[in-house]
Amino acid sequence: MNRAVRAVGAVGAGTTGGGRSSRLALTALTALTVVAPRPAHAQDPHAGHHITHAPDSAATSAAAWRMPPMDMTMPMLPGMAELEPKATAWLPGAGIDPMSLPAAAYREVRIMSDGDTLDLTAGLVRRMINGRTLVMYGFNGQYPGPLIQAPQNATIIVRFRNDTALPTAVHWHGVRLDNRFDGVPHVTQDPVEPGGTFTYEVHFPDAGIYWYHPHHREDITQDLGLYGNMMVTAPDPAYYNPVNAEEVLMLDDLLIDDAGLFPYGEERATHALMGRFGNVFLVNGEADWRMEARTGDVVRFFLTNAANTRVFNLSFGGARAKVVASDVGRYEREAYVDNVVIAPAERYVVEVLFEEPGPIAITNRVQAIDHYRGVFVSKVDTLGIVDVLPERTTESHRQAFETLRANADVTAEIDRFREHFDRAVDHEVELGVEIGSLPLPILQMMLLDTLYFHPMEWSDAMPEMNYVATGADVRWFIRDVATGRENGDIDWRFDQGDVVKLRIRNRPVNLHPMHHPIHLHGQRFLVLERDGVRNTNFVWKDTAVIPLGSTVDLLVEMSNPGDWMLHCHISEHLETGMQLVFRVDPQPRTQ
Amino acid sequence: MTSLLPARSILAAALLLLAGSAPAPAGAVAASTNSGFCRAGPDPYEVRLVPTAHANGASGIVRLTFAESPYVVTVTAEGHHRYQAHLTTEGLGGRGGSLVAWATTPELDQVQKLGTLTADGDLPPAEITFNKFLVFVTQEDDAAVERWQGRILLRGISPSGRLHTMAGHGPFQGESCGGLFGPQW
Repeated sequence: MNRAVRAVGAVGAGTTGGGRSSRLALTALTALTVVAPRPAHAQDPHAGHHITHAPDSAATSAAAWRMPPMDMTMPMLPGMAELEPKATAWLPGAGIDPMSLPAAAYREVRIMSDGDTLDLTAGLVRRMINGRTLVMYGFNGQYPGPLIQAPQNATIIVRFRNDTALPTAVHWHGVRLDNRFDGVPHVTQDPVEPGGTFTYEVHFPDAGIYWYHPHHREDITQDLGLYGNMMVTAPDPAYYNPVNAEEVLMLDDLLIDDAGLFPYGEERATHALMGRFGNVFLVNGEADWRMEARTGDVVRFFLTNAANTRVFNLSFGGARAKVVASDVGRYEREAYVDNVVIAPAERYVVEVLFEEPGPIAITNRVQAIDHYRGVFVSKVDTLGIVDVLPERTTESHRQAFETLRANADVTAEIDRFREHFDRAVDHEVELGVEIGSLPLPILQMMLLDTLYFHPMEWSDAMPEMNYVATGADVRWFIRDVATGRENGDIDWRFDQGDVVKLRIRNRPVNLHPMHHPIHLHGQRFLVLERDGVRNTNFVWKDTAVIPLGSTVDLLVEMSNPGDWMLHCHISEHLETGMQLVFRVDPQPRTQ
Repeated sequence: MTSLLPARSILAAALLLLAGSAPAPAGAVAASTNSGFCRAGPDPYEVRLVPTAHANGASGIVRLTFAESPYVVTVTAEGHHRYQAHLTTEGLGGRGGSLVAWATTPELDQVQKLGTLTADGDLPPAEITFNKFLVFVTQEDDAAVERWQGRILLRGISPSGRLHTMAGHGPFQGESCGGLFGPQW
């Protein structure tokens, strides 16, 4: 069993960039664009999509709004071409020569022991993505940030320094650590101002794969590369199955057009409706990620979705796979899967058997909605390539792969909570959105969209509408059904040790509602039921997606005292209000 | 923030409108009646079955849940949702032969046999792997039939059947929503 994580960089020339986008095979514009008057400047329905007047690197001058990149088969809706978000266009490193910045390096693996210290600095880096020089952010000049590998129950010290232009902090996602170090500005700490520092003590009580990222304007800073993984290893060497290799992959996407990075909103997040989808897929920050394996190898992938909003539906080119773990540990029972559905901030641990030589594409395959034509459209994007060499594996782990392990210790631990499965709901919340002063064409299109709500938004089907919307127009909310309170006005209090049943209802009674990946800080939970159907194979989670129209019951173990956030992990939804803070008191209240 | 539409008003109006609307087949929502267009909040996990001329008075409902998987949302590797269909019917009793449930794409190019209804008119849970589909019940001489041959008794379209071309309805039809989503609507 290979316990060491291989830091695999790009081992071959990129092959996925050019052919990545599967263009829709649609031929004609709808009658809509034929009969509707166009703005005088927009005789071409895509006028403005490709910027020619902008400098090669937007980082060398002030950012400016332009039409977002979008599928060129989509007609441009009348009345939308001139719209801009109610925010100042912003890009990092304005006025700085990108070549004066350090070129970012592929992440390093930091194997740490209890008591070790890591210096972690967030700052500007120069990146090359799809042939473009971009000014982005990085932790310690790396993409992703350093991969921290530490044993379960270790505590490490992280001396953080903020060399970016924005206040920030570092959130240790999924780690049930001391509340003081959760890294949430204005809740657990003051923001770390530019040039400021903060020292975190990160304790790892649970084995698994975790990640760290900012929790202040993460729609910008996380999107620009401030994220990294933490792999917490269990003392039991047989915690996972024997495999030939392990790969830790952070999945992401980035929005780029001819002028470079598409700007962000300085005062508030743009893309407030659906979140900011990217049009370039990244694996560990690379648009052309590759690895090699031998025929017969079993590779364990630790997957983290670091995208602002995209839910991935991954598959491994037909290679057999089984899912063994998720956010905070292993499943009760392993399961063979054809694909991995991973929402923002979720993690899955998947073992894949590569039985045949040749290139295996790791793809994202979804059925996107074409709202203009009223159809579902298959979209396939390649995230990376596994080159399976003809050489046979040196040590076959097929037998272990062919066995679906039942983890009795996981089940035994969950057994302690089964008495709570059928208890009454303690808190019920509704998820929704208020739409305000968006331009009339957008509201009209949203009315149309209201006719049908898809459970999941797999792609940005309305890019021009989406990018124009900001927190000045859109407010996402979590509403406590019992009190009517919303977001920050909700003031739940629990005792340490409480087990709480939380019902989340994502009601389809709004203009353009959407699914939401809900994340609880500092605690772990079980997804108990989905639309009244009891789960039969539990795993501890810290993030779970709530499809539109669905009701999901979570059973939360309030094990960790402090003030903790519950929020949607679509960055733009978080930035537009979809969050609350609950308190877990350290001592039980007197009866 | 200013100019937000009052969410509670929207919800209340939507609920009132829904409560006051007679059940209608999902496919009828796109009709050009004002109330039809403005039916906010259609249940995305319910298919209402309406009778053909061969089964006057009969009805049915298909409740959709996600098929079991390690994830909250279950889709195929190609991205099609994997639904578990829970079909119940009324008013189909007293007929000969077998009542068989099917799912098919709107183009009828792919058909899934869901199974045979029980004597109670219900269907054991069956999986549907289409995003946009029709569900229908036929009267067959032989329950083992692989493609439908008998009369169609009930039919309905998935909630995604409301997805139409943009020019076909919506703002281009000038429907009024009676203020459902704010004074301008």
